[in-house]
Amino acid sequence: MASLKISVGDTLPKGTFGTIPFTEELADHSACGIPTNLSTDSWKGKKVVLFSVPGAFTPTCHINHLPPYLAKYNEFKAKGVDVIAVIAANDPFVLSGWGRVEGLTDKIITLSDPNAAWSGSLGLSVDLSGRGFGIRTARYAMIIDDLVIKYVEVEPGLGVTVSGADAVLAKL
Amino acid sequence: MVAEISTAAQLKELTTDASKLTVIDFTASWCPPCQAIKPVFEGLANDNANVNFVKVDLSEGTNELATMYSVTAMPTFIFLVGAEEVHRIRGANPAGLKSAIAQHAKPASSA
Repeated sequence: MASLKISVGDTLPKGTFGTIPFTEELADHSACGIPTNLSTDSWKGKKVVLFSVPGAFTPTCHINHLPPYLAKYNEFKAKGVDVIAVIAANDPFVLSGWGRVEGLTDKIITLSDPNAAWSGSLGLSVDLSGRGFGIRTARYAMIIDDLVIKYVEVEPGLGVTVSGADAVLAKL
Repeated sequence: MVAEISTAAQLKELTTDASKLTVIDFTASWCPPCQAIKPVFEGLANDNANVNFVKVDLSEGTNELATMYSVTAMPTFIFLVGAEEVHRIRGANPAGLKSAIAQHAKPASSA
């Protein structure tokens, strides 16, 4: 299990993630997305909700974790959230595809944390090699305001509770 | 003839004529729509000698030109008259390409 190395009040350790920006043309295959890098530096002065899934398209993540964040997008925006991002150890191409299937458009950005290295440095990775997944990001959620961590919780077991959309909305 | 460029400096050299149309194709070898429109782009280059046709290869990843023009999907076609952007097309759109060239190209027969 993950053992948290950061706490509320800490400055977010810097990270750089591969991401493919949303473009309408990706949906009808008339264009291909290009991975670019997104640095947490770009979150200076912003309110960010970051939630992590062990794997794109995997059952809990796909059905129970991501969809409520999309469904409640307007509620997050009403609370002053500037960026909603989902992070996983999958590569940016898989995450871009998942984003399209889930209909994220430009509402939720997908961030690739290869080998869960950044998440791991925060004590937020899990070894799922036993299930053939390798090292993945744990199921967690954070609220980051001007690069200061305001909320960080990791799921203690299976299912979505403290890292879910409702739990995060309640803390905003 | 489609020249390949990768830097802002190279683009600057090509865009010194303020009335000339330059069409940039941001493309990648692994991108199916880019490969599908490649022959169309090359055909247009052969038919429009008074227009600069250049390509920027992003197969290995993004570069300064892609960043300069905020290119996030390929193919993206940027139309410059002189050094100024007048139009862009995102996605493989042969009809759009043809009509944009017809619209922005300086007439070949100008004195």
